[in-house]
Amino acid sequence: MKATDEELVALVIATKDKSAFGELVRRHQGVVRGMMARMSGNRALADDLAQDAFIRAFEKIATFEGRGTFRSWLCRIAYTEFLMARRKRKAADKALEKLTAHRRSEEEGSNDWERGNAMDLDRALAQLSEPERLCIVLCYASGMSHSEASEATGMPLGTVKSHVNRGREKMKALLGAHEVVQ
Amino acid sequence: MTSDDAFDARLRAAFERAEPDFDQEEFAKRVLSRLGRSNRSRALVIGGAGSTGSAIAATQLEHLFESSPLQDTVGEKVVGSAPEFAALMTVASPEVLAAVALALMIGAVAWMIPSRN
Repeated sequence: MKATDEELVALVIATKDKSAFGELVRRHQGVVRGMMARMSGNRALADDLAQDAFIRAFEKIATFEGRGTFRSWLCRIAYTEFLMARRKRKAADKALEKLTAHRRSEEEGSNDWERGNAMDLDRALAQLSEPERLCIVLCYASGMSHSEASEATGMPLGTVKSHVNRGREKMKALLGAHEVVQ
Repeated sequence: MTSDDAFDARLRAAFERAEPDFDQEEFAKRVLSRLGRSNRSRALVIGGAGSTGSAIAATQLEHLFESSPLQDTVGEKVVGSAPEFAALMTVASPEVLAAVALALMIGAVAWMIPSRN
């Protein structure tokens, strides 16, 4: 039988078992790497941040109290890593913003987001405020419930819902998807 | 189905299709290999800080013994029971010896702790 996240966490806390932690990494790396990729817009940087988040999670694993899910606890650590890295790279980010804004204006016109065009989705995400982007990524790309997203971000549930609603409306407008799908 | 529900489903599906293809095993290996390095470097940093602290403490201890009425007793006892130690004391100062001993101990712990798993 497959061990639950909580059982694996207990094993890591008790014995610092790296293979148990490796299993947790395998289970949740997709969510963390996906979240970091959507938030940073840079796949290589996202992988570095995801690695840092897992290292930090290993170091702090004894502080996981099991109040929420392990996944939301992990995403909270990952988000903190993202914020810290962004603070450090503020100057570089400004330059990157200029470059991506230039690229955005060059690429305007394509609209095949429904076929899974990551560029279109990323372009639309980049137009949202950071809390909106975070809530949209957690709830739509990572498949979290609103309450899980609330645990992951540390925002009150009502605030998460507001950000999701506002972000969704913006995404709708940006992706040009006003029509009702039957 | 409302307009929002329909858009939600389409947005979820679009994110799913756009999901990058992650190499799970390679990523897990990289994280696990960094765990060992992180533990060891942290232990070495703590060890370095500890040995520096011990050197400073040893400097203060020497002054303490110099001003203590027990100095002769302690000095005679140490020299009498351990002449090698006394010889060593003439080569290096007590704070250097204390720092070296503590650095060795902490270094050994730093080397052993990450290897337990």
